Amino acid sequence: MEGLSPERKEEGQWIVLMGFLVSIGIFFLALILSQSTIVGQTTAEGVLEFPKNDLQDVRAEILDITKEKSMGSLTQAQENRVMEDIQNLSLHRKSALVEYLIGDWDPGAGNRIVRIHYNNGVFEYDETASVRY
Amino acid sequence: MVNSDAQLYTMEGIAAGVIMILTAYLVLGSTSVYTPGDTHITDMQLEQVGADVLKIMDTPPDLNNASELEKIVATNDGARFHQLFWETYLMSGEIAAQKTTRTGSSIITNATVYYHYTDTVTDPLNPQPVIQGYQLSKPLIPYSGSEPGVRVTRYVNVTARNTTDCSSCCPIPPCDPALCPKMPATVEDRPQVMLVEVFMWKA
Amino acid sequence: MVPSLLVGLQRSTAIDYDAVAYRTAVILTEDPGEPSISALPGVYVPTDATRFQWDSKTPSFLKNFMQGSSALRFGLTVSRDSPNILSQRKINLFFDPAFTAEEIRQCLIYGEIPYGYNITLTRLDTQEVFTNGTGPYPEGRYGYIRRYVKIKNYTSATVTNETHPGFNATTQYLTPPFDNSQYQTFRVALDGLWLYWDGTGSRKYLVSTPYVIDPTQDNITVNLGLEGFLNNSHVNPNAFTQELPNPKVYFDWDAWRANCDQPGTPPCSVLYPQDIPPNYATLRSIEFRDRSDNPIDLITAGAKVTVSYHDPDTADTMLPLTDLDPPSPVRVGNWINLTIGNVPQDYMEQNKRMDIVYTFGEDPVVNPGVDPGDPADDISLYIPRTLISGTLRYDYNPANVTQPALAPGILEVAIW
Repeated sequence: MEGLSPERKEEGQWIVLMGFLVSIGIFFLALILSQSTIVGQTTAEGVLEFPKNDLQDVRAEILDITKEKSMGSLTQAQENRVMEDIQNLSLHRKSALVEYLIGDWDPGAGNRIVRIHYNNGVFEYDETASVRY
Repeated sequence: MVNSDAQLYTMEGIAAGVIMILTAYLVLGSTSVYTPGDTHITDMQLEQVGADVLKIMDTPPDLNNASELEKIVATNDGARFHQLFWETYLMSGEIAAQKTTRTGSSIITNATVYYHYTDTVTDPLNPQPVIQGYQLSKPLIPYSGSEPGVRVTRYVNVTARNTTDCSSCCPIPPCDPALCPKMPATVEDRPQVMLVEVFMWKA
Repeated sequence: MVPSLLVGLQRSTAIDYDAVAYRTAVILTEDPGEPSISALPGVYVPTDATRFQWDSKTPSFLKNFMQGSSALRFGLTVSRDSPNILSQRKINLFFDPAFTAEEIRQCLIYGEIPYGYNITLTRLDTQEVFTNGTGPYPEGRYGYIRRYVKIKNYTSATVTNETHPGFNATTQYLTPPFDNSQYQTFRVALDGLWLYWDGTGSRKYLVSTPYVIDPTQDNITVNLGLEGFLNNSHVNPNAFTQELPNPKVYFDWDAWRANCDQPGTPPCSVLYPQDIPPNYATLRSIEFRDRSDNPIDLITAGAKVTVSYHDPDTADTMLPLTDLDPPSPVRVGNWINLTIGNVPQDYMEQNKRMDIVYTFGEDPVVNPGVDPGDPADDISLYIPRTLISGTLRYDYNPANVTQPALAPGILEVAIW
């Protein structure tokens, strides 16, 4: 060991230290990379979680009923039963609370106001739609 | 005599080496992690496709006709449902843009119709709302319970309970009830909204 | 490892691309695009430099528009409230090869990265394919999504003697003098009162956007087949004993019949219209008129009008009619096909009416007289025949108009 001077020992330390630094750098890069896959994962999850199709479906159905009411093909009693259908089906099969109110026809403005409320525990949606039929 | 001064450096070297190997493993591993995200992607695609198919089936072709889905529910025509949903739309070419056809990967569907009625029989003094379902179209292979699947739904307008019209399944009366399943007896005879629920999974 | 459904690809890190593909497909199939007028069909909305339907413009206009600070977004649905129902006009414009990949990225795909993309729309009924992309699907990984859509079709009306015998002008003879004041007219009426409203009495309701016949959005086509009407036409029995305009001679039809087929006279078949139906009709003009019967200059107002007609001399050739009011009458063998698009709201809204007016006149047939060398002896003979008259209602009656039935299609987006 006499051949090894203290200076040479110091140089070895630097090599090890640089190794540490580089490995830590690569480690952080790896962390960032693996984070990016998690981002993608939550994009798909977010799409799945957001009840876009349910909302569009419920909304289209309510506006459909509004049109049928305007055309006179639904009596008030039938309309009330249809509302019970939608509320019960969505509560039992989709775990979502749906409430809506079809306003009276306003001959002055030439429209009626439809209020829609949707809540599935994660997302809440409220809409006040002005319908021209 | 053995000098143990350099042992410390050797151990450091080994430690650094282990960390480097670990890091390299992580770097390489992170590019091919089969996370649950992968299944979410396909789930998301399948759900979107299923919801789209139900939506366009429930879109009337013009002002003078009811939608296909409405007709199917009104006549309880499960065969037609399967033909349209599965054959015409869902499996119409794997990637139409490349004109490639369907491969071995296949999707099994099970369609159920749910309806709401008021039960006045069980407790006539206290009528209760009941949600009941019946099968519209059977899956080709029964669901084992373990495959990951997605569920898509669509509300459908039904003008009245189907009682007589079964011309689509038996052209010559009297109809055989087995050939021409009607809606269950508890379906109320009134304009109503039913829920078509399709469960899809990969076989 | 994971059996990728409908994709045929093994996903590993392409997750980001899937998200971009999903977003792109959502914009295309669930959004009407920008700028857009979120009005109901038939409701008048004034338009200006920033407020218009993006699909009512030409590609070159839009290319200029997006260079400025204005936002342009390619959404294809017919309205905000009708996801998955696409407009034919928007499809035609979006898949126009005039748009560069850079412009598609700027107005549809977004993001910093210049993604490669392939957007393909396949119609399931006609198998027609529209493609817009930087290339075919790559060998490697790419993000993919498939959406099912319905495509709103344009409408058209086809009128022939077989489908609409009622338009046969069996008794409406032209009477002398056979000059420009004598017409047979056929009209096709587009009326906002029945195009935008459906139902009867107090139960009228607005026709929803996916099903409305809206000349401001959709092409209107009228195919007029004249052959049957020509074969069924009748000669005015009184016409030939009366004064003809040029030259002013009294023409005695019976005397002519007695003398034709003689040496030095034309054969009877040429001038015997009672037995030989004419093989052409004479179109004087096609014009557009409003509810008060005032003429509308549609083309100057920005509408796109194309007309082609069947030339009687070259059997099956369809010629374009470049001048709707040609200086000299045009001979039409059978079909007149007319397509109108982009009708401005100034002429088509809930209370407006627009009639397409076809005017048929008579065409002088110059026949050599007894002495072929003497112009004074020639007879300009008008053959006054019945042809077509009446008004076709362009509406929701399937007997009149092919309805805008929705056709299924698949939209696929790949991003890499």
